[in-house]
Amino acid sequence: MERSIPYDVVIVGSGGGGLRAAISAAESGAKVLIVAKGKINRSGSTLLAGANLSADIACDGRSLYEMGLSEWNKDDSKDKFFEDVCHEGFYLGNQRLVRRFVDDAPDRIRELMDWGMEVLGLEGERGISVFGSAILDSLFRRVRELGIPYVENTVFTDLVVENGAVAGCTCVDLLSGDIRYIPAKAVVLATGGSHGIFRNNSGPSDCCGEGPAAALRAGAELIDMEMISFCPAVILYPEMYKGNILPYIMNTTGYGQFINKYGKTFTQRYLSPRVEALALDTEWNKMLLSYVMQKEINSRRCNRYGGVYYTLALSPQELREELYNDLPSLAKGIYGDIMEIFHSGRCVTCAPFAHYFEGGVRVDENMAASLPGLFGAGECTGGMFGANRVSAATTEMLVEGNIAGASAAAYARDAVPGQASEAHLKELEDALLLPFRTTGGPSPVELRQELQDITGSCLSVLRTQEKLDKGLERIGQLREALGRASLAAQTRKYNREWLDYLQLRNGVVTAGATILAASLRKESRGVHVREDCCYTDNVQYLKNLVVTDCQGGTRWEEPVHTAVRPEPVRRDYIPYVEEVIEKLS
Amino acid sequence: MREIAVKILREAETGRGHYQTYTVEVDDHAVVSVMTLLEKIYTTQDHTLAFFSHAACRQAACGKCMVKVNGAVKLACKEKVTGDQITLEPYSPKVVRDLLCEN
Ligand SMILES: Cc1cc2nc3c(=O)[nH]c(=O)nc-3n(C[C@H](O)[C@H](O)[C@H](O)COP(=O)(O)OP(=O)(O)OC[C@H]3O[C@@H](n4cnc5c(N)ncnc54)[C@H](O)[C@@H]3O)c2cc1C
Ligand code: FES
Repeated sequence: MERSIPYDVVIVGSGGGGLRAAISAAESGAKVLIVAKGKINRSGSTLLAGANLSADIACDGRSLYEMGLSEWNKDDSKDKFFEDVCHEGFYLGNQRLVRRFVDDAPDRIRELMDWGMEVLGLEGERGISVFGSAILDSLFRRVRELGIPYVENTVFTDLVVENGAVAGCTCVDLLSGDIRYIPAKAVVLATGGSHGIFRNNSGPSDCCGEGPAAALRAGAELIDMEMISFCPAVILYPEMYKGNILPYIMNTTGYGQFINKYGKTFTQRYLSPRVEALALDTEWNKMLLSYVMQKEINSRRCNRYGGVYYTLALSPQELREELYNDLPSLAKGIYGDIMEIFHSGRCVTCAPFAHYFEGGVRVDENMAASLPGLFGAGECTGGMFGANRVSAATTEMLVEGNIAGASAAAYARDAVPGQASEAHLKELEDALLLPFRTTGGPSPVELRQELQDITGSCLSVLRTQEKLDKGLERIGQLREALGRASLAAQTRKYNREWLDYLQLRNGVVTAGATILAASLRKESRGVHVREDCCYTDNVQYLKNLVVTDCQGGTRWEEPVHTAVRPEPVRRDYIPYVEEVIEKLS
Repeated sequence: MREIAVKILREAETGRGHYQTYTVEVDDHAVVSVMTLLEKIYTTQDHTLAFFSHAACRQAACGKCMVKVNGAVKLACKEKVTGDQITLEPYSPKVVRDLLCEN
């Protein structure tokens, strides 16, 4: 294995979290390298935030007013915002982290504007609207100013641990196939969500849950893994646009409607008029609408493509004009292409797709994991939002990135550089090259299909014990099959099947931890809905579930509550959602 | 069902480039992109095919999935396939493998 020159801090991932972490690590004086799987300033979910039409970055209304951005909500305060985020996470969020989120948000917005980010307008009472790509552009401008080096097309595979602390990481250069060890005193994981473990996901192909898996394997812990937000209305068919969240955006703006195969609307079947209004008109729509869509899809009213239809009224002409007036971007680019479908008298099929991962690497308020030298930022971490993300994940990645980079740099200042032993590196290399030494085994392509069949069957919006138990059993079989995998081509140069293997090797760990967590939380809370336990139980389950190792070790932990505590009640799921919403300011 | 003949220039990086043709079946009404076809070929017919796929936004946002479609450079994820025949080639002379180029 090649060894690169050593660094103080290696940042894994170049979405908003990774780039922001790199900036603060470098500003703290550390020698930094960014390892990016894709293009340095055009990858990750950050690029797709708000479908790259209008992503929100959140902060309290008072601060927006003070920054001269909004007049709307000047009576708001950080404390009110803090309380709302705690309630909305169904009391599982780490309140020390939420405090940092609320306190730091205005500074993170201000600096992005200093670095040249264009603000398009406001989004709701606590947010500004920007292009996802504009966030990346302004961060990358700062990265260049600081002269931070980076490598692209490079897949992080493992953390290297010596004497109980991080000593760097290993990566594969996809174009050459070379495996490299990068010595570092600290590593910041910013690999984003675990979209790739699902067939139906709204993310880019680079986000496969590799960070959390590698962290767990190296001795760190994961938290809240059962919590996954689904985007309720993502295109399932036509296939060309599968994964696009445009119907969700249009629906949130107020346009269009969902109908089943009989042409009937159905939200009223599952929600009272009051909750229905909440589901359709507020930020809570992700959770509630996903619940409703999945219920309808699981019934005989599901359409032939396995979803429900999203239709748009384009006549009379006035309606069409209203739509294009509100969403001018629909006239061009890929959205113009999607709109052609509606103009030709057809519509699209939608279903809830895996969208945002609340859980991930367990970190404290300094973004440090339990493994010395390991830090995390953004969606690959867990703990901030608890059981439901209602506020902006963009703010999360910026706030966490800033803290993680500074913490990692401070840690590196005092740490002795660890160097991995040849024996350890050989072991890691052997694991990565395993499918090249095997013949006649299953292909990683088919094994990936199996993983996605498993997650689709048991980790969808509506979960049951029986399906989760079956899922865990199949994950066990899949892990075993992965040990026998072999490849059709023997080259290491841009070998997609090998990449599938590398991603799968981590994907089975992340998926396994998620299914395990979902099977142990025998209640419904936030985005985790158990059809066989349709209540939220604050008596028994007001706890975070921590996954402690790859062998199925877990621990329940008291949540970090500094200010907001719920009643110790047990209530039916939907009425409890209503009750919590009532508490919001 | 509609049959699409997909002719792909492979292994140009070795100096011994050659065309290989795959037949892909899609629904009559299906709206498919060049990327849909490449994914279908990779998953169901030929696991050795190389094309940009490791950090793909699939929504015409990253600009990294460029490929020459019937002689013109296009984004694979945005390019709709209408006919029953299509030729795909690497978009630049700096080929890494098959349709994937360095840039
Ligand atoms: C379609 C969509 C719309 C969204 N809209 C909004 C919105 O409007 N508002 C909002 O607040 N949030 C939104 N979100 C969520 C938000 O965009 C993300 O949570 C946030 O951008 C995550 O930032 P990140 O830096 O943690 O991860 P990402 O931006 O996903 O970046 C992860 C990075 O890690 C890299 N990476 C992954 N694996 C590896 C590896 N093995 N080796 C090297 N690099 C690796 C990736 O290439 C990428 O650069 C949306 C998400 C999606 C998918
Ligand atoms: S995959 Fe990003 S532009 Fe095509």
